[in-house]
Amino acid sequence: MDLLFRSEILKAIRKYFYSTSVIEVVTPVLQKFASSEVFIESIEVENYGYLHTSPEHAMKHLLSKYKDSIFQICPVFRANEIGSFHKEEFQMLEWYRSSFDLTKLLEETEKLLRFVLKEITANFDCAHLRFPFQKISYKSLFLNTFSENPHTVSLKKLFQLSRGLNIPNINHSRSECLDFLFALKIQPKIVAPTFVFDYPVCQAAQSEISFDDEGEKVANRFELFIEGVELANAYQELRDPGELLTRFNDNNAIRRLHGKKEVPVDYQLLESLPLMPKCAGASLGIDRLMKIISGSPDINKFYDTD
Amino acid sequence: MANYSTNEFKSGLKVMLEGDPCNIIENEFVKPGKGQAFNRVKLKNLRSGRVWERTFKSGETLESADVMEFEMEFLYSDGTYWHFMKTDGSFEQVASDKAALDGSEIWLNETDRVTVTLWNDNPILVTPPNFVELAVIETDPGLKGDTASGGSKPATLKTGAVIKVPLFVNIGEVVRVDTRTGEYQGRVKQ
Repeated sequence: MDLLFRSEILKAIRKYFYSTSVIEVVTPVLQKFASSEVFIESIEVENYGYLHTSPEHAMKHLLSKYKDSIFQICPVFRANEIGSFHKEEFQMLEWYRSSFDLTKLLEETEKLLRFVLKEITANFDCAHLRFPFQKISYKSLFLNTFSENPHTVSLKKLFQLSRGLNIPNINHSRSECLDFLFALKIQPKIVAPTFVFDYPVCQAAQSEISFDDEGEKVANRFELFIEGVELANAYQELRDPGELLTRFNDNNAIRRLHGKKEVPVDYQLLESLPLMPKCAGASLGIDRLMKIISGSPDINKFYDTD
Repeated sequence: MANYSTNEFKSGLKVMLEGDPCNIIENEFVKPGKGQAFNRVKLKNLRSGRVWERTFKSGETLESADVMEFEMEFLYSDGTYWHFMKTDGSFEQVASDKAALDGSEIWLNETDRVTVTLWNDNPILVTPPNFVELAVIETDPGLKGDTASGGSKPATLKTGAVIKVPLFVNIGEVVRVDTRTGEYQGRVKQ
């Protein structure tokens, strides 16, 4: 039964973190600021603010005070995301590891999933969740599929590559073209569990910028894909408030281009950032994890109350 | 007319696209990484029967189509129009031209029940039952007892349809036919 299935997964996640002394926290679901991400729409609660689209900002604020590793399991809300892998309300695990670099967090993500699979008693065929997980850079994937370096390819070439995709005809930015190409041509082919790392700089979000083995500027983040679905997303967390402010302002500029309302900058986060310890953070969709483990066709099924 | 947003798209929804009523067959929400979400939609044009694949930015809307399906009894054809009557007790009748029948007129047996799709109260599609039973009115003489040789021959049915039947089938016998494939299914004992 799904009720027991979720309960076992939550119990296993908590068991893992409690055993490694990561503190469980709760941050308010109701927030003053909407998400800065251009294509993530917050749900507004009139006279109060917004339902959080992820607990990222509030947890970073906590980290700046508490300084040590924390985790949270909470509902998050994203307007207009409805599909077999999407729900306007879904359950997220988010955790921050103080002093971790991204490699260590990647290892922990795999370890956590291995632990969860071992703990649950429900009898599912998990042959598709083969360990150890694979690792490949965003650049290698892009080169394999399009014979182009995603970090240096021209916008003109990206438009050319996007032309055959059957996507809505809009004026796409560099990041959007990369996203469409990745989501439609590369992602469906990532079947076995795979960590994709070193993202294009234009998709850094709140991650640090670093250099890859070939000296190319990349965003220091990874995503975990299983059966073509993004399960987890992680950053080496950016701690430079000036740089983050620039990215927030850039997001607002893109919002304007798309005729969307600008989002006020979360100044509380900018103030917390210099006090935040060096850390890496990840989020993982629990409903998607349930879907992947059980082979269910639709995450909405896990919310049936019948 | 109401509008449906991509949020409300689901299979079975009837919407207007490029002036034609369509039935949504499949709707997939795609959210590429941090990019703009869109819906990949398969729609069946209810007039042409053709299947279209389109993408819509999330939040786009389509006008709903006033399309209803009714079970109706086939009454008769006057050569130009085919006449049907609702089976809900209203005795309401509609007349369909050949375009809406789209070839299915060869399966229409008087008093058979069919599905008639109405758009703004006009028939645009007539779907015969999956299986119909029709008498053979013309075929070569049957070979008595030959139920195993596996050969076939053409036979004309009372509605004018010509299908392939086994050699043992005779004029006057009633056969069962799959209207989706036009294949002979068996003899029907009278």
